[in-house]
Amino acid sequence: CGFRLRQAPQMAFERLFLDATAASALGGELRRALAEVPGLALRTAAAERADSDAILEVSRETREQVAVGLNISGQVREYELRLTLVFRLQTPKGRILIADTELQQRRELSYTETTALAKEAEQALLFASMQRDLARQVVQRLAAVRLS
Amino acid sequence: ERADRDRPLNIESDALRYEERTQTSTFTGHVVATKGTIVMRGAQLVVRQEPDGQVSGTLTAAPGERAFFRQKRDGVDEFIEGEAERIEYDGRADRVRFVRRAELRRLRGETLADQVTGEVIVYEHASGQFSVDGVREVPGGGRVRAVIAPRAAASAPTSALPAATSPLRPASALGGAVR
Amino acid sequence: QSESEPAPALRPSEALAEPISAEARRQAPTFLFGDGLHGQIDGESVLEGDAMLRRVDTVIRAERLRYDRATNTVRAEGDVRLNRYGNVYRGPELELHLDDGSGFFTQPSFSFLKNGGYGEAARAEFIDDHRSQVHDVRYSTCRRNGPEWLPDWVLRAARIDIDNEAEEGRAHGGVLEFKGVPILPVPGFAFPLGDQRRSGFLPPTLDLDSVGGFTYAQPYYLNLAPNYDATLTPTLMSRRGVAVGGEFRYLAPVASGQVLGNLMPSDRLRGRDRWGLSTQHQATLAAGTGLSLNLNRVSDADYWRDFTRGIPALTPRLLPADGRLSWSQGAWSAQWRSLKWQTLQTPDAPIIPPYDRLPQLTARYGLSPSRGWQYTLDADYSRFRADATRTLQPNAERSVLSAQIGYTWLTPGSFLTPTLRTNHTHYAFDAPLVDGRTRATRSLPTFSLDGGLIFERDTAYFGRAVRQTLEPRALYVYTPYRDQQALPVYDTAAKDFNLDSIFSDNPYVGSDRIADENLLTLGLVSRLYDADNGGELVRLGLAQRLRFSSQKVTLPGETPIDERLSDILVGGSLQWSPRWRADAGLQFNPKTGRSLRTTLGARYSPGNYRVLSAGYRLKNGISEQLDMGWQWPLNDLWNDPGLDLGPGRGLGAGRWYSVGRLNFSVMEHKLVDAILGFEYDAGCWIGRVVFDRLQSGAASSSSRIMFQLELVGFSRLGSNPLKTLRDNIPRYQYLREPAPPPSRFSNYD
Repeated sequence: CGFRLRQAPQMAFERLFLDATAASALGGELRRALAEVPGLALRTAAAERADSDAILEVSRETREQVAVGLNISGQVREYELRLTLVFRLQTPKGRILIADTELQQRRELSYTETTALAKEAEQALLFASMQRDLARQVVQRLAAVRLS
Repeated sequence: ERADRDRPLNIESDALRYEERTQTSTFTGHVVATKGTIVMRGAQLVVRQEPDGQVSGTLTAAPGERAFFRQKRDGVDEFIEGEAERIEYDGRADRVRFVRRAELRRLRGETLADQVTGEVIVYEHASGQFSVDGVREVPGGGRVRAVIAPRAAASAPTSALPAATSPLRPASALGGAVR
Repeated sequence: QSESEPAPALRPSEALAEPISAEARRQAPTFLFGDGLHGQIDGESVLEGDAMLRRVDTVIRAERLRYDRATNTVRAEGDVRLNRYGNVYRGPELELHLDDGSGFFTQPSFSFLKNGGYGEAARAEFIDDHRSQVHDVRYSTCRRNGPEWLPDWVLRAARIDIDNEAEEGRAHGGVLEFKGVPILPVPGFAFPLGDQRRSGFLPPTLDLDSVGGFTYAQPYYLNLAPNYDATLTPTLMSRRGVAVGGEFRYLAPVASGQVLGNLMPSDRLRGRDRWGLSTQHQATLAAGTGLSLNLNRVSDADYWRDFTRGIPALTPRLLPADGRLSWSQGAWSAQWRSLKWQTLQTPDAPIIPPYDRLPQLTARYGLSPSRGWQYTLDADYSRFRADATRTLQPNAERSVLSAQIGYTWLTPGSFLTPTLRTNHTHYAFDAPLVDGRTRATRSLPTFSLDGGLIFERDTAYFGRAVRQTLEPRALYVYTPYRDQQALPVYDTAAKDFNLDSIFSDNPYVGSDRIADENLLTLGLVSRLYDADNGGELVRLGLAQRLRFSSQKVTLPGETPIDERLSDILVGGSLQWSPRWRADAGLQFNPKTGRSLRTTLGARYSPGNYRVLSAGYRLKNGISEQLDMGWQWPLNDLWNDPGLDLGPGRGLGAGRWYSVGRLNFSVMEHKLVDAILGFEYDAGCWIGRVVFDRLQSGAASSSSRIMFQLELVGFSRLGSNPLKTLRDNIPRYQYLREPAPPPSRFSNYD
């Protein structure tokens, strides 16, 4: 049925500058995912921005935890966790390769006040899983760029 | 300058035809006329000698070209240049009239200070008065356009502006200045 | 120009120069256009017949223009139109000194580019390039769209001082009228001309509240400094008294945060003083060290009922006071944390309170590259405190040491990760357990082997070229049995059983329970990526567990798990086009044929101000919630889709929008949380009415109706009905977002 083992993604550029806030966990996950791409030199030092082939800019990263289910006595029963990332890919001269794109991941988390400590830890696991998913999607989109 | 009024007029050209009856002489072909600081160039110049010795002339350019006129202003290191398809010079009133695609430029030393274009420009050297007419006089004629250089930095050519502010350098000579 | 100089070359620039430096301004030439021009070379030139003067960012048009080059002054007469950085003035007569921008304009009408403000006055005095005084003026952001100017709202003032650089107008002797009715007599009143932050009144809100009666809240915004501001909101409640709400925000290079407070002395509803405080603070101290505080406290247990949506904590009845000092350096990280809960108990729905951590110290050394050796060392000391009469467990101090080592073989198409983990936990109880022990220790290893392959093929579905992946994965986990039945539970609970948690080596999160495992989890995920932009269109997942021995370790009150086959997990998400997306998750028990956990969600948002989202979430036996949210223009019903002015600008004047959110608890057959709002966008003002009902007990609920009048571009946004809408309705868009100021070239003459 035509399936074959996945090959490493071929990027249309060699030197990629990653412009994401150092502290952000998603930025770390992006670095790990991009480090897996063979033949891609990942740069983060500001000086290297000018002479890299492309600049990956993470312009927004928002974590949301929204109570989407309360019971009648004001206790939360359901949370929706959302991780939203807006990124853009452009050349140092400013030519847009991928315009601002918003990616969003969601997870559902049941909740009871009594298990607040446990749910806090579980929430961290879910956000980590969403970060890995988003990082993988960004790499997938970068691989689809063709430098015409 | 004022002294130009009583300076001799000498003219070079390919050919000259003199008509006794109208007291006019017509120079044709690469006409260059000078009178004191005045310089005039064009394809054909018709000159009339008034009884009191004053001279007036009509300079026309070859088709598609424009005649040229230049005069230094009194007591100031400034020149007035003008171009038009037809230039009428009135020696007695020291007045010049530029007709059709007319342009008048004022240069401080080598730098262009002001510039005016229109259909008909009249310039009186003595008083420095000028008037420019666009549509009204000649229907279908272009609008009057004038560029007045800033006073302060008029003498030196405008240096390149700090790149950060405006990438365009202010044009010191706008289009249409034909040499 | 002399030949030696290179001809002026144009350099590519992304944008036209917005700000003009004084240097460029002084050196710029003046352009004159007209039908006729006469004048004196060094003196004054007179321009007639549709005359125009252009200089850098100033354009003047009039029937007659007199320009005196000596004083660089322009006098214009006859239908004069002045355009200065996009602000347009029109009137019979103007005098302007081009150097310093001073001068006057008689009977001007003026419109500002930045906020679309329009006004008519007897006289305008230009002080300099940016400041002017306008006398006997009427000003509004309602545009003039007919011969007559009939603004819905207008500010009449004897004088308005306008400062375009500070983007502020200051009215003197003014009155604010809405549809002819004075609503705010305003002796001295500052209002914004752009979207720069400005101290001043925010739009008031009027509520009809089932608990508080008629409520009038008048927020006042204080722009204290570029990096901190405050909003004070005195609120008058007819049935309860006066409350003062305050919000203080600050942003410094190393620290930022906000303080929210609410004080209501002698609230007649409960006959006592009420207060609520919520502070968030983040600060980066020395290199790699950070402090974060999240303190929430309220005066009494009924606070959540009486001040609905008052405290921004995520759980209305459980308020954390949480302080963390964290440090990280390369692979090392450590944290000191103190967490104390305030649980708002109600007699009819008591909550078994979660444990306080007073304090908790954690340290971690961890290297987890995506391939090769990974090892982490975790230490966690926690001192658990709670009301033992409610938890029915002794408080305790617990120390946990866990070490993990693993190795990952990784290729683009496959991965294999064996991992060995050991966990040592020691408890010291304040009071003896049932079996008399005051200490307990537990240590046990866990072995797991995680592996997976990724297959790919390029194919097409529904005529769309996609790349499809097939990702089988297997996880084997072995953990020996250690009797933990007698151990109390402090920070442990069962994870939601989903596609993330099934691939983990412990079904419980927290350290009090490590289940005995001898199981194999098999999963299969297939993803469809768009062939040309790589976007993930579809993700489908399937997983199930095979248990080779039953799980004897459970939470108190649970029975050991003997089934050899776990429930089947199905999950997926679908985003075939950017306009809509759907997510679903199902935990299906093959024996009972029923689903224990179902989550379905869908969202449809074809454009600005159009979003419809719905969610159904079932957790068997605990909760079943239906959630719906929408924002939709009502004009769509009579198919008048309006204009697409871009986000934050509405869809055009004279339009109704409906906004809402319904949260229904199916098990309790009650509408728990309902918001229904209508917004009318009249172009220069927005009217808003929001009905909000929140269940606050089995038989009690609090509901209120909120009204709000917002004068676009005049009084800045930011009062509470909008906050209610924004926090509760997914992807709610304001009808007016502070947009970046339009470029002066957008109003180019």
